[in-house]
Amino acid sequence: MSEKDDEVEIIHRINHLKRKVVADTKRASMLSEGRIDPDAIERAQAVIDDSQDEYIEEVESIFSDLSKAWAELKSGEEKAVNQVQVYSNRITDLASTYGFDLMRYFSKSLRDFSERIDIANKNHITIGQAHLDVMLITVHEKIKEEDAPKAEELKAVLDQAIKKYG
Amino acid sequence: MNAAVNQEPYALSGVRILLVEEFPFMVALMTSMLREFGVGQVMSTDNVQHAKRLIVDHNGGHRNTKMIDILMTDLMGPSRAGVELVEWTRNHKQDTVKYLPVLFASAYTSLEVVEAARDAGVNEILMKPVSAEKLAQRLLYIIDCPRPYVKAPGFFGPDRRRKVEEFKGQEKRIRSTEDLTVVNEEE
Repeated sequence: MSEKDDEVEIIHRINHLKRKVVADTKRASMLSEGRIDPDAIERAQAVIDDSQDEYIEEVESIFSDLSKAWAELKSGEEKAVNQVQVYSNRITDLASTYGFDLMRYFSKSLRDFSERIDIANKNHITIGQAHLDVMLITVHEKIKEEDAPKAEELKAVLDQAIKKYG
Repeated sequence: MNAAVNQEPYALSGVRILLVEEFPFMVALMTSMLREFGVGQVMSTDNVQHAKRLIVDHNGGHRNTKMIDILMTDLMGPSRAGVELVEWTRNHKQDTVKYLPVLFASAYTSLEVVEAARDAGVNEILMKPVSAEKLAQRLLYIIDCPRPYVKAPGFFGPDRRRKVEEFKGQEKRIRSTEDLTVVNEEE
């Protein structure tokens, strides 16, 4: 390794983006903190809040894709593992955005489990199937909170499956 | 950050953001939110190769008004193509691509993913779920608090330290000025 390779360079850039967004590019304005219009932030949050009704339809659609990918995985399709990860991640993303905590809990658990799943291992398939089963009930019954009595029951079912076959 | 705050909110109408995300629902949601903030143009793609072409098309030449100002990318599934996209920008020969601010948005919140994104050279990380307040805060960090870039053996990207704190222990790092070059971009 040459001496040049060991060097550390610190590069200070002109803040072109800030220049673009401040009306007044005088030094004081360039140095002070800026803000996004609070009304605009409120309107942007309303975009999320107002689309909450779309959650159920969207999650049902992704769950259907996930179920198909799971069926392929069970039949030995190695490439279906990626699809299971993608769809369970989408459900995690969606459920956490709209505060469907129980669904987020199950989908995140499935996503993380599918990162290490061995599709030839029957116990792994059983654990994966247990995820799909509790998620199906969660979707159909539209259970939102993680601490609802039914939610606790479903979490216990999944925990038992993981303990027994994991 | 300075205590002083500009009275006028930022005018984001001239800002162009490229959103790289595979999940159509999230693309629609993020695009609508960014438009509510007043962002002038939100471009999106679900494909990293397409994202690279868009970046080169807009930022491949000299600084101009059509440049993409912020790249916002997801992890992009198990292949982690989003991280690869960030590495590609940081290794690009053109400064207008190399220094493109990157906001990494991910529902994967493990330390390992965060470290991979940081080491690839992202400027900010937005952990999903997204809220308007969180998104606005991350955009403001990018605009108001751009960290200097560090070029070191095995790393090129924004300085990974957000705070500069006095170290109380024994100094073991090389402190000689010959080992450190500070470069200021020319106007």
